Amino acid sequence: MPDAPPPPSSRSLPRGAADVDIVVIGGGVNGVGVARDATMRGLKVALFERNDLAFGASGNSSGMIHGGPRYLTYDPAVTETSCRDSGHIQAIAPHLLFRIPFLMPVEKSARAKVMLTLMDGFFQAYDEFQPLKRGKPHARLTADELHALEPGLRGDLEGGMSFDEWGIDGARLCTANALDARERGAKIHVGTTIESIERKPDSGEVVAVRWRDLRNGRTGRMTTTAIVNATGAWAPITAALGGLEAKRARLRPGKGIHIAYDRRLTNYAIGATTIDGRQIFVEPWQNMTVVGTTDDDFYGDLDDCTANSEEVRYLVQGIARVFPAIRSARAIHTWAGVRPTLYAYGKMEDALSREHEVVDHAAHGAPGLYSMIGGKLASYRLFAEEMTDTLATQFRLGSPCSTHKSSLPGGDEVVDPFALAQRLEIDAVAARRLVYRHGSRAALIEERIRERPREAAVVCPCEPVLEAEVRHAVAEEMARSVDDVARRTRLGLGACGGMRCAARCGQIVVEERGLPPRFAREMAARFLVRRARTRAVALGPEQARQEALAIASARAELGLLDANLDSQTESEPR
Amino acid sequence: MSAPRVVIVGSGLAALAAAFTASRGGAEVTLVSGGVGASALYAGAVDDVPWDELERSAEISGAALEARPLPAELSAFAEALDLWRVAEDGAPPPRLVTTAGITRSAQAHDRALLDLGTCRGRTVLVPRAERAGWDADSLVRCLRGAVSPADEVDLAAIGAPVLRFDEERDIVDVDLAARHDDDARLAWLASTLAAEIERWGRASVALLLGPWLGASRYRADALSARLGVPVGEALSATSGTAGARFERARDALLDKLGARVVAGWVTRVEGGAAKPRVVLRAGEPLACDVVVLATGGLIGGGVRYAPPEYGAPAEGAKAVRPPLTLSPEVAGAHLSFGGDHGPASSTQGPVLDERAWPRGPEDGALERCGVWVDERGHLAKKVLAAGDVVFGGRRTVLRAVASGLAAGRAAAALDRPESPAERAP
Repeated sequence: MPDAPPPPSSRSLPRGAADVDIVVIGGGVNGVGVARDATMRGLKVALFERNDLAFGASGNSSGMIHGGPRYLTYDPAVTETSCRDSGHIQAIAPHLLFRIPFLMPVEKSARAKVMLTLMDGFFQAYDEFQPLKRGKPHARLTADELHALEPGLRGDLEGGMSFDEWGIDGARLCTANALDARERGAKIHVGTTIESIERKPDSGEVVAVRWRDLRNGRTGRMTTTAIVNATGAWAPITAALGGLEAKRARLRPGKGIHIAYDRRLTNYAIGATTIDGRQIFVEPWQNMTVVGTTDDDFYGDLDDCTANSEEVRYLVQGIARVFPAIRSARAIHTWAGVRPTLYAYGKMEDALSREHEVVDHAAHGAPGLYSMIGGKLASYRLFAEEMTDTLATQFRLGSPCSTHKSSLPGGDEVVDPFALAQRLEIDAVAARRLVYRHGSRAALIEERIRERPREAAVVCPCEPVLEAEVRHAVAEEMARSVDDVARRTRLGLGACGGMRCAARCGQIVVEERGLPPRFAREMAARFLVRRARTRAVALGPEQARQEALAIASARAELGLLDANLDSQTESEPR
Repeated sequence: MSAPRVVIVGSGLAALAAAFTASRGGAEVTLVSGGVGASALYAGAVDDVPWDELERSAEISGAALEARPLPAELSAFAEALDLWRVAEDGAPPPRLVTTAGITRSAQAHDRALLDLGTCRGRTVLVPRAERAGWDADSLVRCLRGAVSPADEVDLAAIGAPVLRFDEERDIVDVDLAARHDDDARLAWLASTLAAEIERWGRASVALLLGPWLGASRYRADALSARLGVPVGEALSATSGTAGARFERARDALLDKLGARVVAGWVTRVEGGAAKPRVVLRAGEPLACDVVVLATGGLIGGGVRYAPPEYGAPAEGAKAVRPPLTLSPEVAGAHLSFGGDHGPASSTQGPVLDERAWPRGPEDGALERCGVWVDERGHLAKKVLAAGDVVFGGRRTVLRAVASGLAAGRAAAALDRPESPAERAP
């Protein structure tokens, strides 16, 4: 190359030379993680998210931050860092975590005894790391013990193992990080896409981004010193905006789907094997049950990725072998996310590395542009730290990472939900859900209700979600539509699929945002149609009837009107 | 020749309509009912074409919406049922208010629903009530945006109490409605609202409530008479109140028709060359001359969607059933799921991703699935079908009633060789 850039380590970037020091593209967990870390270290940050916070893989994961036992056999150091970071997340956001005990049943076979002994040894090694994340040690269980713990287990079992992991609401984790970054001075722009990345013609250095607000069409330009491409599976597309070849941020997108059932069918996560020998699971997750997951190369539209019936059948078949009740359970929802897995050709999906890496595009002639490739929910903080360390070196910052020492919003104090329920005279379940999602920040919602007691009204009876929380999500948490509110509060994700709350939620969103009332109906109808589409793929006999009723109800009360209801973004007045 | 014996399977709107014309045609009618589905869940609005499509086409063409006259037979049925208010020919169609905060048109509607057309020049008062799904202030704000200047209507939320006991904050709509069946309770409601109405002035207000005005009687009229102002309910798709009132009106009409009602589940309908038989899960089979199947679509449960992974044994698909079954089973019935493929085109069942919900102007498969009938309404010899169980067309109240009326008429005439139905080409 005629004008090869200097090696990354020897350059230094000036602070305060542009509108912002860093533009972070992507509002998933890695993007908000970097925005928070960089802001905490004193950099001026703007984050742009094309859809909504946690729209992609971050909000569509299995909802676990596990310690990575799968790396144990060949790379125990990864397991150790995973477990340590899981412990860190627990320390900064204790309200968002809940324990998920796992059962791994082993069916009777010639090799079953050997298998159990191997597993016993394996989990013994994993136990070494459990204290890092306050996990409990494993136990080797007999068939009788397994059946006593979970009577729904079927099959002729030799025995099994228990081990311990933590569940988390990925969308809440993203929201908490974004809020913290914003409160520390970062600018967070949701629903705003980056249309191009401007670079200096001579040196190739990044100069600015051009953005467009997808809902009202407003556009603008923002100068910046560095750009972090944290767009997950979208990373090659984002890199291409800066004129880089897509292969410079190459990854192997892997689609994973989950099915949600209307209640907790079991109090233990249960491991199962699919027809092609993959490990899948059914887990109790918040107030529902989740089955996951698939891992298939994805070649479709990242902005419109949904589960299909075939994937659902594949998972249900696997789970039903050990937990047959899943066949008669009521599926209420499916979701799909695309993993930004590291690129490798010729390997099966499951064999791909779940590692992450920071790509410095100075090597490709674009100094100041970085891509975060790979990664997983459990190690987002660590990945963000590594990314920000790189930036800190470039900006010659002395301050070290402290994201593991400082609480996320709401994580600083433990709140008693029962006392809250009593003080506000609200349902204890509603209070418990509120405290789960907001931790000590539930006090903000409490304040709202004190000032306007009418906001204690329940909007979504399934979850349940109070009016004050919906308003809070719009006013304080950057929600702009019913979908956004659902992502932050789980409104409409319960058994009724939003039939009873979407319209009301739409009214509140429209009111809080000062939009004309007609948008309420459109937003609600859009949400209902989208929910229904993702639910339809998991329909059983009873759900089919429920769906037919849902269609009739929506027709009677809202109308279905337009062909374009399933487009992702609604247009709004400027 | 003795009166033909007609057995109608089902007791929703289509079944009732079939009973109506069959009785009038001189048949001896028996209804077999295992409960009502879609009809008990209808919201009280009565259309022949989905209202949102009508409004959209009116918007595009710029023509004003006009009520269309009902065919004479439908009018006679509506009159006998005594449940709906039907718009007059050429008049603007009724404008209903929904709990979602929008207004919509309808061809006819449950008499308890408020028609904004009757509130011209008035302020519609909406009492606050601490119930999930009822937010008077928000409803008022939304409706203010939804009504047009031509409606000449304003709205206001008021604080007059409408709930008498604490538990009424949590009971379902239809239970609250049932409390107003009682005269003393209705008198209490009128008295709590009277002061507020007097304050505004009777001549200048109307009253909008939730779907709470009677489960077995029409209390809107009674309340309106007491208060001297137009009174009505907002349409609520999930309340069940309008459906409860339908069931009561149906029972009254069946009484009047002298139809026999058998409670029970039909498991099989035998047609063919011999006299048809209707086999029940319990009890003697019913012998008859003709059967009308009015079991409903997916909501009613007449058509069941059963994906093989649910119906088949856990280990392998030893007994793959078609993804659609008709309940009750009728020999020779041909089912369709969405129209473009037969029920057995895949042993794995249909892939629902693209077809389940309506997409644009196309109906979704879940609305459309049903049984094929010939041009005279027959799905097998001496077995007719009516209502949502029939494949194709739109799933609206008026269409279900119209097909019921036609099926009843044909059933009564079937055994008479001189009848026009038999002579028709």
